[in-house]
Amino acid sequence: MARVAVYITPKAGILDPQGVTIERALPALGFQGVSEVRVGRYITLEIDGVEGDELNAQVESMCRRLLANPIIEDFFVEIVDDREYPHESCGGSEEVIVGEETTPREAGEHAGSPWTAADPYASGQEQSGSEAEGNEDFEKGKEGVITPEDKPPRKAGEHAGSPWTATDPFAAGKEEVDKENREAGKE
Amino acid sequence: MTAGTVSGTAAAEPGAQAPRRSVNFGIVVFPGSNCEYDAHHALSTFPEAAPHYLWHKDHDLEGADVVVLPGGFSYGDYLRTGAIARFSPIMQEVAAFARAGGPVLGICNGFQILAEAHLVHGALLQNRGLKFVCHPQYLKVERNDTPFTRRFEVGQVIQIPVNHNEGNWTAGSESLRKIEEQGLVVFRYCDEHGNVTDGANPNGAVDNVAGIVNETGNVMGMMPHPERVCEDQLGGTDGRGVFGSLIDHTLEQ
Repeated sequence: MARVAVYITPKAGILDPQGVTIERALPALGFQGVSEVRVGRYITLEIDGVEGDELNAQVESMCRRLLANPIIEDFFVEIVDDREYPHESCGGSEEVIVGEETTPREAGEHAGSPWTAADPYASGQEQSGSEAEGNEDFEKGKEGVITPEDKPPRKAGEHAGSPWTATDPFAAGKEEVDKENREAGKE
Repeated sequence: MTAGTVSGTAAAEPGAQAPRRSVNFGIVVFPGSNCEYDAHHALSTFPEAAPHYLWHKDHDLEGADVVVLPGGFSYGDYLRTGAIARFSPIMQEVAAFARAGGPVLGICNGFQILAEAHLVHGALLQNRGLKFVCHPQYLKVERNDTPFTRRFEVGQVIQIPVNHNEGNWTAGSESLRKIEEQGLVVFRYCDEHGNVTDGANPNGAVDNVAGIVNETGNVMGMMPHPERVCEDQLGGTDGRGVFGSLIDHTLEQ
């Protein structure tokens, strides 16, 4: 069995609006001199029954055909054989530590951070910890769990009468971002 | 060749009941599609059109003259928009239909699926500015020699709403050069006077591309939603040009 890690990043020259937004946000937290922030995707998987060149070829093929879109993304693959690296060591303990460090820090700093109100991704994070946040953020967190039935009246302006807002779980997720964007931008 | 002549010919055909024959529109429904009803409704306002749904797991286009890939969030936009839907069983038939010259219209998420399936050029990134855009949008018609745009004039400014988060069309510089050389761009975002400006670009798409066709001109992907502007009560009728063109094209075959 092989464990495979695939790193996918936007190609050089491709606009990465998430990266740009994060880059602008970091100075607000006091991190200076940060540039070239690029947001990608990290996929792990296990493959049984193939090894060596065949394994490499198979992973590259799945990257080209599905995991990445070569028109806009680069990918980088790491293959780790379980016989050499038992399960326990895979992933590395460093990542866990980073996660533990960031969780409490975020809770404190996000509360008063000037950009949380406007950033759709920031509000996504707050959903998990909304109860600990201040009033304004708590309101946002609540919106994240509003049921689809509540959507049509709120969307009266742009989606009135649309048959799908009430039933589509994916649309609900999108609309939440949409609404927050509009709130932040126009209202 | 104008639309009037074509539909006139069709109507004058003797013998048959009303239109010479109906144009069979197959609307593919993926899990997470949500504009298939809008497309069906819009098409049902055309007496010549016979719309029906096609389930993505089937391998049968049920005699469709035109295939429509509607908007929505197929497979929850997981991985990338359109990336999973592209491997739905029916996409094999859609691709074969497209290769055989059959007209395929991808709207919004349908455009994203066509791009992922390499049936049209490029890819669709998240909107510049990270904003979900949802508003009426002016478009400049670049071509009226496609099955999708023959009821328009070249240079005509039309208004069709956009409603998407990943409409930022892009392509590598080499393929972009070829696309422009071959004139594959059908619609560009513009202002009300037809000026193709960055300010009129809702999502950052390269060269303000709102809709493109493949080299053979029978597959078109577009981000705006023509099915939403097919009736006056719903704010406009410019979308009728797209479906009407497809009807004209099919009846002429």
